[in-house]
Amino acid sequence: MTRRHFIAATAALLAGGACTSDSPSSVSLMAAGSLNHALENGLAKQQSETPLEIEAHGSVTVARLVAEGRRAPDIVSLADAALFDGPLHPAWHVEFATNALVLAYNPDTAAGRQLAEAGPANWYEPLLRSEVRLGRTDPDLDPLGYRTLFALDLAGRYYELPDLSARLLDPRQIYPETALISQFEVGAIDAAFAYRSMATARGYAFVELPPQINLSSPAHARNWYERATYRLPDGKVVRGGPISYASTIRHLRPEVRAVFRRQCRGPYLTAFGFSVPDDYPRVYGDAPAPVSSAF
Amino acid sequence: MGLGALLLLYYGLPLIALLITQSPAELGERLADAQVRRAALVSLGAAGTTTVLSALLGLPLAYGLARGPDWWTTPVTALVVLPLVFPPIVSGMLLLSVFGPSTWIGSAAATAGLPLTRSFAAVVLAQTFVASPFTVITAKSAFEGVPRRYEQASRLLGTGRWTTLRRVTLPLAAPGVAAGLLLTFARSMGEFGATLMVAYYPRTLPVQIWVAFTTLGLDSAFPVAAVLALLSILVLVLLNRLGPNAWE
Repeated sequence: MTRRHFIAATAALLAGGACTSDSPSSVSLMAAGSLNHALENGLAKQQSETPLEIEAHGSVTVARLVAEGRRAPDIVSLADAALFDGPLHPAWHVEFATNALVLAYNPDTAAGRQLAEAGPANWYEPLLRSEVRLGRTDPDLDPLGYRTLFALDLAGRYYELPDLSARLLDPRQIYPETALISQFEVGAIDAAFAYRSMATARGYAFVELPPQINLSSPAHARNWYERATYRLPDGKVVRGGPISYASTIRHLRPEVRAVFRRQCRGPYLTAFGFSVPDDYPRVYGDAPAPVSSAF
Repeated sequence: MGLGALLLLYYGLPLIALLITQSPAELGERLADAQVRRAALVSLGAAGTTTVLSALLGLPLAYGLARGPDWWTTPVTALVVLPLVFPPIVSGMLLLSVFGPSTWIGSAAATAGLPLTRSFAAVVLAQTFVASPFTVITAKSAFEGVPRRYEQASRLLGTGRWTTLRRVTLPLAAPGVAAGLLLTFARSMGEFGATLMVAYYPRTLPVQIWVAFTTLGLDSAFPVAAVLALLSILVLVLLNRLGPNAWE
């Protein structure tokens, strides 16, 4: 290869790279990490006319990036509608799917097999015997982290073991979500609290938790889930509630509305391990007419 | 020699593990994936642009630092090293707070049709911040290794400043300069933290690896990582074969 060929090849690459920046007709969607798989491999694959640019982080990170003006996506979809009460304050949002907390375990380790044997009724006993290396995510960074705390708090009430959380929790269990996944997949962690959709998608073995604990059931919201609370670093107190995915539009264009509708109603949701209750999608707040009439 | 081999083994094992665990069929599948190919083009294009920019802007700075008086070169060298000290995520956040859509620079650039976040330019900005110090620092010590008396002799023979630089200093410093540019290119190919903060789109290979990992886990991410490894090795070997003379 001569130098001239090399320079020509570099120039061609530069030109190729430069063409791939945002095209004006594409729709940008910022979403909770737990939605990423369903959106990337479900929603994006089933619709081809509008290019979709999906960006996923922890829900709290997404909300902060958008609230601070660091990102300006067309659609924001979060794993907790409470984040639309701050830091984000959209005039309206739509709740479109629910999820459940499960206890994923590694069936190849002895501790993992103990969890499998204990099952949905006694899952906390191996954890209390501290033979299980448990992993969870940071409650200050994403809802999965504080929902794990809610589930343990509710489990303490449900099983009448008031010190359950205090005995189980240890700061060394906390990993960033991505690190938690790697540690779990390579066998460095025996068990981890995860969303059911995530465990289903990746083929993890998991223990189902009772609906009083797994935060999946809107029927248990009042007087039960809401008893569990957590204070975020900014002082905001989040309260236990059903795990419900909520979404809003920030730039109302026809192609954005079409993507939004497919996101909230698409059959891809159940295929990727989410649940869609009968009264979903539900509109909260003053949605503009073209949106509210679509649901 | 034995100790060096130990380190080499330490570098080599993860790469071997990465490459031998991937079936050629899986690799072929990833190479055929339009998203992966686009990400590979963006990575190569951005890393190439960053390397060229680092040469154009970094070599004059490196020469100034090599020949200038201590009272300013010491603090300026510290400033050049600063991006290497920051975690890339922090660099990304700092770049966002200077070039983000809500800043006056960011909004002015976006109005002019060149958005500085979520664009090819954003990828280059992130990579240049994180990777260009390798060129400046390495080229600085290469220039310092060129004895001043050669330059003085050339000037005494009536050669101009610029010609002396081009015909005497640069050729003598070339191996070090080329090494710095190679480091900048390699670091740019792998840049992730700052790119994730300021760009995400258009996706580079590291971002594509992260997306594969967060959607389907390690098994899905490793083949894309193997594509990145193979591509980078290929380009670095090519650049190395062109040799220091490539930059004359």
